[in-house]
Amino acid sequence: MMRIAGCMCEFGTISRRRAGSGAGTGVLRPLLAALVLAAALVLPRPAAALIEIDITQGNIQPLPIAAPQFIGANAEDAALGADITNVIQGNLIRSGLFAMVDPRAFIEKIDNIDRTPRFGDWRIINAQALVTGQVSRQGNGRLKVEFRLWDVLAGQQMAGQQFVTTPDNWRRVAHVITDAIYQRLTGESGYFDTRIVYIDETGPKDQRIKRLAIMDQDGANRRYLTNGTDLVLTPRFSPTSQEVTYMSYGSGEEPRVYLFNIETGQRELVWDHQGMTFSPRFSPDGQKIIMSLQSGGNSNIYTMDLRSRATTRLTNTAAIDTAPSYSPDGRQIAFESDRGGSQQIYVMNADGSDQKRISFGEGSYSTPVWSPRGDLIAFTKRAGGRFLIGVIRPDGSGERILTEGYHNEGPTWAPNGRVLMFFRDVRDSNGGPKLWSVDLTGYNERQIDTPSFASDPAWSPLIN
Amino acid sequence: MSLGKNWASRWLALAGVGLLLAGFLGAGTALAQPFQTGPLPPAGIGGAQGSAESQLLLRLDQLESQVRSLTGQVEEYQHRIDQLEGRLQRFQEDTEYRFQQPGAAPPPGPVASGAEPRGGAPLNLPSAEGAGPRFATPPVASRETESQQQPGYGGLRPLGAPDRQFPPASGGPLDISPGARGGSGDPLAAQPAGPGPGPGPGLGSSSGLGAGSSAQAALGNVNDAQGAYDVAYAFILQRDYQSAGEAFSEFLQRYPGDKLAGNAQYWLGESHYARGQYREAADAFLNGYTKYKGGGKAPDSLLKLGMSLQALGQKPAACASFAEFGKQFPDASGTMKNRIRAEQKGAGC
Amino acid sequence: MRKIGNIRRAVSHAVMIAALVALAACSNTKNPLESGAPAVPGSTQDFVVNAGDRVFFTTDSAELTPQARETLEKQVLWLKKYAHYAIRIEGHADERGTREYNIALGARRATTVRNYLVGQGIDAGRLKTLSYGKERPVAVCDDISCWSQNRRAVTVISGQGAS
Repeated sequence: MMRIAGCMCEFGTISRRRAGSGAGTGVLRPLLAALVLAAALVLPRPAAALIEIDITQGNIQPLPIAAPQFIGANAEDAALGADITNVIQGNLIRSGLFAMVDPRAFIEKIDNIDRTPRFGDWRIINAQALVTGQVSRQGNGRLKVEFRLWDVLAGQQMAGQQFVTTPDNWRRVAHVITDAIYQRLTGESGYFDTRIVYIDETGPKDQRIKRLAIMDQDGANRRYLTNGTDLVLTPRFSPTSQEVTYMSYGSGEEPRVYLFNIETGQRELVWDHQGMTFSPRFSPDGQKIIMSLQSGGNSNIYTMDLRSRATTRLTNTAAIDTAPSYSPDGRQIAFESDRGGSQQIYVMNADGSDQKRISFGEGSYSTPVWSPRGDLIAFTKRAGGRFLIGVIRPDGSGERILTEGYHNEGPTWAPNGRVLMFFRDVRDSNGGPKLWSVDLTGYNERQIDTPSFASDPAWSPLIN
Repeated sequence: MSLGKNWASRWLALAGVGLLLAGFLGAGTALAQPFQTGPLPPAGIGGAQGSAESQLLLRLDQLESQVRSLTGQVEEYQHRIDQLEGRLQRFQEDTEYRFQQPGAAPPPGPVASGAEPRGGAPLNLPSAEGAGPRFATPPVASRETESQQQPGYGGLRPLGAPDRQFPPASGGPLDISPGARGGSGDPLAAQPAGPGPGPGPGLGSSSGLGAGSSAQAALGNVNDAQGAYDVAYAFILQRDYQSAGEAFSEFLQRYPGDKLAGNAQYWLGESHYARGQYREAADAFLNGYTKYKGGGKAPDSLLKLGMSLQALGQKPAACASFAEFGKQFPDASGTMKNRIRAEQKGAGC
Repeated sequence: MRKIGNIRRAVSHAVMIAALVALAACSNTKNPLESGAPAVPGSTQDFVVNAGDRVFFTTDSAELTPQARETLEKQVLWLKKYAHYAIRIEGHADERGTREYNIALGARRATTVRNYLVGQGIDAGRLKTLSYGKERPVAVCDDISCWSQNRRAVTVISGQGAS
């Protein structure tokens, strides 16, 4: 409990640190801060203190970090170095945990990343961490990118790594470096080397054209996987990120669940069964697809083993059971059902046994999504004519609302279980949905840039 | 064709649900009403020749819809029952516990076990529980005596709990330091709940009866969570805080997901607090508050967290905890709120 | 205030008209409804105008209202008379719900209508159901009058009969 991860209180200016693993929640902020302070006074201090950030506290000052452009021996490498630095900076800023120190304030000019920086020069401009890097080419034309992360106040290196790759892969290198920085400074794994699959929406509201689209987590490298002829909805990544399952309408046909291979572009019908199939997701081991099958006025949850094609029925009620989501260990499934008259969240064992309602607040609850950490279930809630995104513990306790408005729907977790993406629609007949992200503190809310309307986002696991 | 089969199977399923519901709700409750509604008005408006089958299908749709709303009511009642059960258990424990607190408000008269200890109190030397760690030696003595007086209880020990010879070791010297660091020289600071006006009268010897029996009752089913919990809790009632602490720790290891885990975490904190181990107590209460935030012991955990911090001399943190209480539990009982106010005043927040 | 009210009413009338037009467009007619022209008996226009091709539901419900039953009675008479049409029932939901639930809710609505029509003697072999959830709103706006028009089941007829 209260595992105070290394104390860094010497740094009077750093008001944040990591206070224990999963315990912290947004509402705890002031208390935890006070407690950490208390514990800091009581516990012995480790000799070498390092900067750390408590990402459970979102409403305090971001950590000032300096990231001068990565250096390069020639103009071409220097330009690529600048691009990589820009991507890293963008990632850090969007996380809400960092503030970039203005490059115009820099005193020391980094021209050799193997030499220790003059920490005094960085301390004086209030940088608490410093990222330096260098881009070069190897004989075979491959790109080499090196970076170092420095604790300015302690005057020591916190991380240093190098990557070799093809030049066209430079954005991924930037994301991997951001993940390393984030992990070193927060103690949590990063989520930058990831992709988003979502539904691109164009055209008027009553004639929307919807296409399956995929992009990097920061909106770059966007590609369209379908051409808009068929109405497509609710894509989800496989655990390897190589495949996507989604639902699609043929012309005048009942919608069906499909599998799509991102690399080959091949599409495959999952279950040729009478009645529509919808709401598909992968099991954590990637061996099964769990989905709803409609029969008459009711819908129930089934799994299909992708190798044997055997189907198993998990729920059997005169109700709409849908939006299933496996726990990360694959042992339980959260889903929504209106078996109690309104949509509510239920949890059952993976074999369908022990179905138990966990949501008892005011309003209706839907689209449960189990966190990759296993500790929380995110949901869409409808109450008082508003749509909210929140989280609840799997035992039904600790419900917390992260954002609310006219229409928010369909949360998806970043692989570190600290950030959610969802779509938000507006009360405007000419408007449409856009993608947004919010972190678990509820403070850092941002719109994701997309060229047209966008909905149904699904976050990939870390690509590595 | 398949229609008939379809509705027949649905009808069967529905009948099953109906029976279940009726069984759950019991006859004659208002909830059973919807089943007594008359037959559906004829479906056809202008003399339609609707087949009986279709009418049944439509009727089925309606019944399914009714079953859904009944199911929802059952779920909500069940949820409320669960909550009430939890609250009842907490209430019971609190009551029992408070009866044994030296400074607690006098329990309503007729409770024998409450009256007896207080009668016996002045006779006992400042023993044990309240100031345990501070005066490491006397408690040991009194403890030994106590367990000797209750051979039956001693027999319970083989539950796998380690030897209870009370090595002052684990507790004693170590635990004094946080208290000392807290700068509080007042022995009362070490007392668990209501700070009474007098020196904490040792209630050790006299409280054994009730506690002993409750421990015995629990013996039967030590293998399940409830049984283990009861045993651990019995130690609290006996003010054997070290045993209680060990038993609750073990409980939390074995049944981390049990519905009693939140309570166990709280009592683990109490067991430390009562021994003057404020840092361990603060740890346990913070854990209880964060991990079981929705649980019934969360407000108590937060209160005790503040008190532990205060005992450690961490006034700002203690005050932050008390302030947090108002924010987190605006609907807390008046008693709790008064308690918080008193603590805030005492700490000079 | 009164002026605003009048404007609102005028706007909602406009919406109703737009809805009617859209409604005709939705019904797969080969010849879109021409304003003023009487519908040819037995044509899809005739079905839309004189029987009524859609029924509405209350929020989150799939139960038929008395008005819905009345409409369906007319549909039954019409569909029995013109038995060569194949029938598809499309269930829809308003935008004030989550996507997947709305798809299932639309299916529940379509099924209710289907069961009713079959019960009134329409050959089950002529009937198919399909749900669009909230994906195909007929009325595009953002108030309650509009949402209620979207909570619907539309009976769409097409030339090729089942037999």
